[in-house]
Amino acid sequence: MPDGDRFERTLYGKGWRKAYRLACSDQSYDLIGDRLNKAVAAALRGPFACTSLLSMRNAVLQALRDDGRKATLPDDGNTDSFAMLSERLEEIAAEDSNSASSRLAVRKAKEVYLELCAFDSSSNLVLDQEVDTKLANTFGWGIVRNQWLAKVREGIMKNTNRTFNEQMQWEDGLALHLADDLQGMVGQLFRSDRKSAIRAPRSTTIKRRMTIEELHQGIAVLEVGHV
Amino acid sequence: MSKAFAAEPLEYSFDFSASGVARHGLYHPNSQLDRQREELTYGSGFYINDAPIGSAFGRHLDPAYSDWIDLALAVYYADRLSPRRDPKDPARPYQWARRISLTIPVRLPDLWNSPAVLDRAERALKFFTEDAWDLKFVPSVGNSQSQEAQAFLFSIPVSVPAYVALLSGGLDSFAGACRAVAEETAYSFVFISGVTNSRQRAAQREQVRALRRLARHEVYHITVPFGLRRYGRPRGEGEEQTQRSRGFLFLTLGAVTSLMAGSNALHVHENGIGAINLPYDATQIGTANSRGVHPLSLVRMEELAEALVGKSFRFRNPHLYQTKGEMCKHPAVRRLSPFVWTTFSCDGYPVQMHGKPQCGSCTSCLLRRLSLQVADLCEFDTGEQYVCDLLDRTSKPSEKQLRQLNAMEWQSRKIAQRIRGPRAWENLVLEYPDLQTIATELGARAAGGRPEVCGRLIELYSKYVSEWEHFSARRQLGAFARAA
Repeated sequence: MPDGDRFERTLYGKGWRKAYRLACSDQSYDLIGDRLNKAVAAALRGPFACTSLLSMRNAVLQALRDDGRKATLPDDGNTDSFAMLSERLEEIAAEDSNSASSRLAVRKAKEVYLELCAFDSSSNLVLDQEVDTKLANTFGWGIVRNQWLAKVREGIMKNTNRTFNEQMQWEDGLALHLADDLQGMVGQLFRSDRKSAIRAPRSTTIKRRMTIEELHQGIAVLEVGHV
Repeated sequence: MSKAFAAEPLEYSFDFSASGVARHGLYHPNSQLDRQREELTYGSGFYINDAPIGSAFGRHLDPAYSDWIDLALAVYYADRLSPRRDPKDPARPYQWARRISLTIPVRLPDLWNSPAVLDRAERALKFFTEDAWDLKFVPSVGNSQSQEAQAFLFSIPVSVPAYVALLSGGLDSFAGACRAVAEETAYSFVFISGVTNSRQRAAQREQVRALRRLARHEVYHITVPFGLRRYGRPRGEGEEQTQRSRGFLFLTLGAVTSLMAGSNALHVHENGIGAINLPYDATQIGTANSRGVHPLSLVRMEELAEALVGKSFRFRNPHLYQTKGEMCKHPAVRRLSPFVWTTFSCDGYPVQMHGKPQCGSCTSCLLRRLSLQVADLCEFDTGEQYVCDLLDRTSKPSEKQLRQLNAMEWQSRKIAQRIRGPRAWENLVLEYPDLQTIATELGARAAGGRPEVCGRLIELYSKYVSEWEHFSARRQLGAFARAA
């Protein structure tokens, strides 16, 4: 039989399984977060590489600026900013071979645009930094949900005996806990002069080393009668 | 960025002008050339018989319509024989999309190669499948209308005006057809079905017999068989299971039928929740969810049809703002409720188990059972026809069988969380930004503009969440749902 439960076997890629085991044993956000950071970094270096995220960020920024200009000019009435942005994002994704990461990035770029502009009257004051922060966070959390959480949620709930509401709260807390790290990590993709590989932030949890006394303790062996 | 993971989409190319994917039909039944093409068709294992469309109207298919069906079949063929990349391969990047090049022989190459038609065809296909399609149309040879003259001796022309609709055999299409037959009393009815297996066909016939009881005018049923002959090959070998282009084929068959009937619209009956098909969880991106009758699929098809026929043509879904439960509540459905058992909804229909054609645990089965419960039609939806009866308190479903129920529960809670409170629409589209695209495009066509569409969609999802909260199968979630 392969290792792990049914949910664990659905996870592919470095780091996700360890994070799942920690989540199942109801460990702290710090411990789980460290593992998830490493997993997201590995995904961004590998199968979830997204070369088009910078272009998408620029497209969102441009759309927001256009909206700001439109607010001060009479509306020509025949252009919808969101529709135009959607078209542009589709073009960018197509140039990036329509990979799954670029498809996810399209969705997240739309979310960021909608959050910053469409429903916010003060959008013409939006800053580059704000777009970077929101897009990095949304995209990073999107990877966590796509590659991990959506696949193993039931397993985590079962092992921790959480209700749906409790699980939702736990996930919100995890998203909040990861936000800064994800922003820093995914934000590296926005640097056009980027030369080094994406790295996870330094671990915040201290590795506990075994003491010599613990190492000298005997290993528990089952009695023959129990086998 | 690591170059090892800079993967391009898988590329496939099909040249139908050389090997020929001909269809059976009125257009080329007798000539030597067409016999050869037919053999090649059987050799490649795909077939379609669109002869009944022409027969029903007592005339030949217009060349543009024949070409359209040929294109749809070629697309379906190519889609099915072009497997997507295995998402479980850890050494490969996650890549769902493909690049598919098709060379298709047509009767009107100038029309099909015109930018207006070509662009719209490729755009529509991209929306259905999320692949890049490169279509090239070349002149076909060997099609002669003079050989088809005797085919219509015994045909019965359809009287007009005609209400043309797709009839899949599913619960939605049956409920929608019941409503239409009861309410649209000025029309005769033409139901068109694409069929891939005999059980489906038998169920559709049974439903049409039932519909005739309600109708004041004629009810015609046209079936177009199509599919794949495997010649002993194992099911699914070398095939793409998602078949995202099926919707394009069905809508094409429906549109051609409607145009032949002199109508300017094709009706598709699908509830709004199923048509929009929001992702159940975050693993589903883009066409991981089918867009067969998605409102924007219908818009893309309208654009193609208009470029092709040079006049306005509509693909209408009168139930876009209704839940499946609401569709089933219609008095006409209640009158024909003893026939509900003939309908099927399962994603895996027909399930290969004697006497149990539906799995009972997929999202489509669950939505069906929810709707029949909402419409108080449970007595016509017995648990015996399901492999797993989640409505039965005593059943012991496996974790796997509960997976979709869990996913639907989660989605319903997410939606509820978003729409209950101020700024419902703004909150909802932050979770599902595709809804904004729908509202924008449909709003441009609606009298009340985008606000009207937004309001109606909020109402639709509110009703759905409310229905879901009363679904008895949620008991199976036990402790997990206890705080609901």
